Amino acid sequence: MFVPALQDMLAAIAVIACLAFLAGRIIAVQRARHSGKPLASLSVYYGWYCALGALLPAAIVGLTGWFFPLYDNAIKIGLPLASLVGALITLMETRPELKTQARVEMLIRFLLLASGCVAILTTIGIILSLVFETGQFFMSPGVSVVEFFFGLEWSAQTSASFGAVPLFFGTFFIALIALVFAAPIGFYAAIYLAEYASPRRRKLIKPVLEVLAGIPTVVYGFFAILIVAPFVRSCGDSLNLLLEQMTGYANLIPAQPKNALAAGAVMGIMIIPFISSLSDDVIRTVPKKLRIGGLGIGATRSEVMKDIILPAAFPGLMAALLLATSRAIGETMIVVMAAGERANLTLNPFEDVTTVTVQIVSLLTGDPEFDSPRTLSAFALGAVLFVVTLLFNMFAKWVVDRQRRRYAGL
Amino acid sequence: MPVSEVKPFAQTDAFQKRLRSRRRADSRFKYYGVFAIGVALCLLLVLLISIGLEARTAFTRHTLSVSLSQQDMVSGDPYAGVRSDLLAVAGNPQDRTERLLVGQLVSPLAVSQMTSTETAAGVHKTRLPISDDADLYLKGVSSETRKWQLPVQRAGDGTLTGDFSEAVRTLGLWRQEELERFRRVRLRSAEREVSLLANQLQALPEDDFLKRRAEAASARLSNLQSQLEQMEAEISERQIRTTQSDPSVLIRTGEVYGQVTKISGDRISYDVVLEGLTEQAQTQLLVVRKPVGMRAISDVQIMVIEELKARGQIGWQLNTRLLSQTDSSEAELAGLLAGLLGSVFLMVTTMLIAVPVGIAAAIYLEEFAPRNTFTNFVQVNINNLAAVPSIVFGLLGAAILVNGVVIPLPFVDQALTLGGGLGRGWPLVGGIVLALMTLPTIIISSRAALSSVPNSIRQGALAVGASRLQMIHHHVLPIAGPGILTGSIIGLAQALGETAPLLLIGMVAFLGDMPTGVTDRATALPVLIFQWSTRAERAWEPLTSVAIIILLALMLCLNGLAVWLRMRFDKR
Repeated sequence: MFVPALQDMLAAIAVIACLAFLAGRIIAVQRARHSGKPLASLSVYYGWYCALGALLPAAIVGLTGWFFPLYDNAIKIGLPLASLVGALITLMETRPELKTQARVEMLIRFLLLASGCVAILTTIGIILSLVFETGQFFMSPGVSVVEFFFGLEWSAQTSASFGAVPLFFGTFFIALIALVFAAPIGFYAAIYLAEYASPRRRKLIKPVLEVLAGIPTVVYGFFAILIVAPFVRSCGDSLNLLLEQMTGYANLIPAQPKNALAAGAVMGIMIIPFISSLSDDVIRTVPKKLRIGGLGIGATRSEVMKDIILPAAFPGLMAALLLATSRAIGETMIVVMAAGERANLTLNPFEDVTTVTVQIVSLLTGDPEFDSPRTLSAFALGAVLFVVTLLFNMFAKWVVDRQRRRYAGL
Repeated sequence: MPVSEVKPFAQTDAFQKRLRSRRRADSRFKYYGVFAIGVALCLLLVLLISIGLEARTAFTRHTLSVSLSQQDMVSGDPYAGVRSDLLAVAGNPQDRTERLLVGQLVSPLAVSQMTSTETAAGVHKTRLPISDDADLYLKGVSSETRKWQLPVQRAGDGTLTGDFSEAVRTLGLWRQEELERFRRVRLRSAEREVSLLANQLQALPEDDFLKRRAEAASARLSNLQSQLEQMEAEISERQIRTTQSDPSVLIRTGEVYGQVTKISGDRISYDVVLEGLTEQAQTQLLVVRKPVGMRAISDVQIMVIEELKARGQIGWQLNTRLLSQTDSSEAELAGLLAGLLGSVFLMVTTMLIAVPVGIAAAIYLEEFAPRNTFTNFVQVNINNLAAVPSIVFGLLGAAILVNGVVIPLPFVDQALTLGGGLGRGWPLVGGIVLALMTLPTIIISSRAALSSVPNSIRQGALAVGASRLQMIHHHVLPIAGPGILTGSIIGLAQALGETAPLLLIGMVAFLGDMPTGVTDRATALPVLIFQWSTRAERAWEPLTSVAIIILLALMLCLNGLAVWLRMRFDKR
């Protein structure tokens, strides 16, 4: 059977819609002239009404038909058919007294509402894909939930052992390293911006700091493997020599070319602006009254900051840290490029560790088969990642909102 | 004590001292902040500068001009012609490895992609990109090199006399540094091993295995020491022997190119490597610091390159291939065109989906939505979506768009597949995924722009009888437009740099393929950067850096556009 290509179908629908627009407008005007009745709306609205009549059914048929696959080819033919039928119905309806403006506006409002629902649909889509693929993973032979969450051995590529603890550990280890680098810098930068910087300097510094967040992560990854990882490795080697002189044991903390420290440090650079701008916002929600009161009894600005504002903003600052952590956990390219793929339970930051995101990428690149547990395990990891980051975010948002509400009255 | 002699509290020394220290603490605290910001900015600078420095060698590339006969062109294997040309330059060596190495100076792929040829009298002249290793050598990246032109007297076969003191001095300096490292690393660890084993032997004098190990270790140590002594002697005698693990010293004299085996202030001994070259009056001494094992280019190749350079066959040009060619397995042939085009397809798809939907959603939420639980839910949803890691969107694309979610139906032995059917690596799929990802950004910024429109404008429009949609269309949107556009552009710029979700939906380069549309396998610029960064040869590093600079420049343009729009908007 002749099956036209999708592009041709879409072009056909566009043509039908255009024709419907013209026909609707002309028919309305003609009928009004013949019957002598005035048009209830501007003539354009009759055109739009018919055009929407052609487009909406096709869109609905197309999207639902794609999502719930009925008949692959039937859809392609059904698309222009639906559009044609819709156009004809609306054209037949067209008469001067029809209040098309109201109808068109109603349809557009419906479209606006539908757009608003896209976000919900996306969430549903994420949950749907993660839940079912994860379910399939846990139901496939040789996979157990307990092993996944508590097993210490992960080698999904070669043998089928899916103990994800080394991945969770690696993820948090690298996130921790990133926080160790980023938190002091971010907090002090935020304090400076909120308390000491003049408005002009603030306006200058903030965007420059935000450039750090705007640089694509693949660039950070390249920076990590080009500069930071070799540097960290040579530092590790010298440290080993030093330790050898002190203790007599060679290579106490082996340093690898790919290492957790490089990935974590570079990720730290990336999350500095998150911490600084979130903390800056949090510090600014603390009411001015508290600050002025502190200054009024003779405290210096640093004393006001340390003894009044920071304690008041403490939960919010922790929330900022939490948000930054969730950013670091979900970050992919830096760790893919700089952290390594070997599941490795170690506390040595000079060694390579792997993370949840690295494994997802390595399991799903190439041409994965979607029915093997190897591929499906990526979705299980993704589900864990989604849930953890979501919880972190919701908790952090709750904390910040609570703080904002608490100080709203002051 | 009279009252007048009692100092006010604030004037007591203790108080003043404490005040001073408190003020010092305050300014210290301030400088911590300045320091933190300085560190962050320095890191940004280090990142940009290091990538810029790395990229500087890749903006130009060296070419080799060759002339091919008509016969080479029609034979269907022009590479054979190029290869025989190169071999002729090298004096037609007989050794198989040498022939192979000389042939590698131009890759067969480069010859097959050869485009512009000038024909004159049956001879085709063309310029071919030279192999990446040769290119790096010519740029001086692969190793430190020194060159001396020397007048020499020939002193028979395999030896030369003349004044070589400068070369010897340079070699001696390098040898000295090598010695330091040798002492520091190898000798010290050997000494330590010997002493460790000796200690263990004291505790267990009967252990045969330990005894043998101790003997072997001390033999190794004495061997190293004698090597060291020999090297020291060579330096002090100013007579240096070179082996495979030392810097290469190459000499061009008469009709031969030779590898120097021994060099002293007035005398050189060498092995002839290439013969039958064009006769040259002057003698040239070339020293390459990295030993052969540590560089990608061999001595024979260096000799041929130097010979070609002397003949004027090597030129350089701007590396326009980067923007005009697709990816290739050979670094000297690779370009970004496919990735750029893929990114354009991606951005267009993303824009066509994310911008209308995002603006529509923002209008709904800002202008129409009743304040109820549902609206609240939508808002919470959008906020949470903004914080979902990008890789999860990649999983969504891989599962729902590409593969389809398979739901096993209970009771009947069948499964329902939801979605799916779109191809792996299509820009359409990537565009949808990126659109869903940027949607929250666009919605949030559009809402901010809409809510900044004063209410009086809305009321005025409604008062003269406009419907609510007309009010939005004719009055609110034109005012909020620049703000909405700014947010959209910033969202798109973010999407341009996104890599991880594209990897998951298979937007990975096929060498040399150009995408033809949004429903064809394609790759994107950031993915290409990722792939190039994982390739092993040294030449990919500068190329990756250039690709990064191009990506950053594109993002800068987009953001600059957004800033410009915002400034115009602010002025009004």
